[in-house]
Amino acid sequence: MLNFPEPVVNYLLNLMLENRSLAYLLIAKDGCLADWGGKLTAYGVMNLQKGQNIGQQLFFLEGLLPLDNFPLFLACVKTEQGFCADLHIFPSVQGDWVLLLDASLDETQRSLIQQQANNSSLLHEKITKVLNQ
Amino acid sequence: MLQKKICMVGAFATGKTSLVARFVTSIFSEVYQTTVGVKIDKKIVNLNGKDLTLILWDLHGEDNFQKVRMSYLRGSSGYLLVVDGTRRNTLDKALELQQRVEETIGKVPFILVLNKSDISNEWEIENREMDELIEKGWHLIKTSAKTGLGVEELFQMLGLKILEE
Repeated sequence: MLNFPEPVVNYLLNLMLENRSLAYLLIAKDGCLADWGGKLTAYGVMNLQKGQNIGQQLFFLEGLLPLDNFPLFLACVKTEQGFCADLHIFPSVQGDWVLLLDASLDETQRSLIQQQANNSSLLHEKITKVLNQ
Repeated sequence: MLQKKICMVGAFATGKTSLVARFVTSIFSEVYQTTVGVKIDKKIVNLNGKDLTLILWDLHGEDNFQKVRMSYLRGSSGYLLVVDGTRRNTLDKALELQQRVEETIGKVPFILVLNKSDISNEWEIENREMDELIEKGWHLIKTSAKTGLGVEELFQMLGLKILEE
């Protein structure tokens, strides 16, 4: 399947599981949950029901599925419980797979930079406004 | 229950997050905190006797370094274009974003939100510009996330427009 030795693949998988709380969902094309696994509790996801509509169970998936045969990547998706995840959604014959990878660290780092940049831009806008008056 | 996804779109620091916070939790903070990625909340509204769950996608604001990823808008039933009335450039950004959104998800209901109406003495957007947009058939609403003015009405109005579709 892969051109990588098994120990490398295992290492990478463990890395994803331990450092980024890999979790998955399989959604049938009718929008109902078919399967799930991995560290879903790390995202506050529990009490899932097979065969039930996914949008009613995980509201952040409302409107996204089914896919049109193209994968979808959504970075830093934060739910009301405060969990931040990168969502990778891709189609297959069984249905659409949704992978969740913890993005809390990435969000924290980007937030610091973004905050500084936006504060600087706002200050620049204010100074320009005053100078133009 | 019927659920509809709506997105908050606009330049950075226009008050998208504050509008959602005011609507969902009735809280306002003076401290500006940037949004990274997207924050998703929900709230049930009652429209003409029917309950509708609004799934609110509060997208990060667009700036010189970071474009809004249109993939976030997938499956959106409507959107709010948020403008900071005190910053003229945020209206230009909203007009640009509206075109990109429409190219991505097609024509769905949207409202142009002129936020920060509590400091209307500092506004840079003229009535003439607003009238031109109204003449184009756009729906505009003035809000203040700080005082709560127009916030409830805004989400109710978009909900109704979505249900009319």
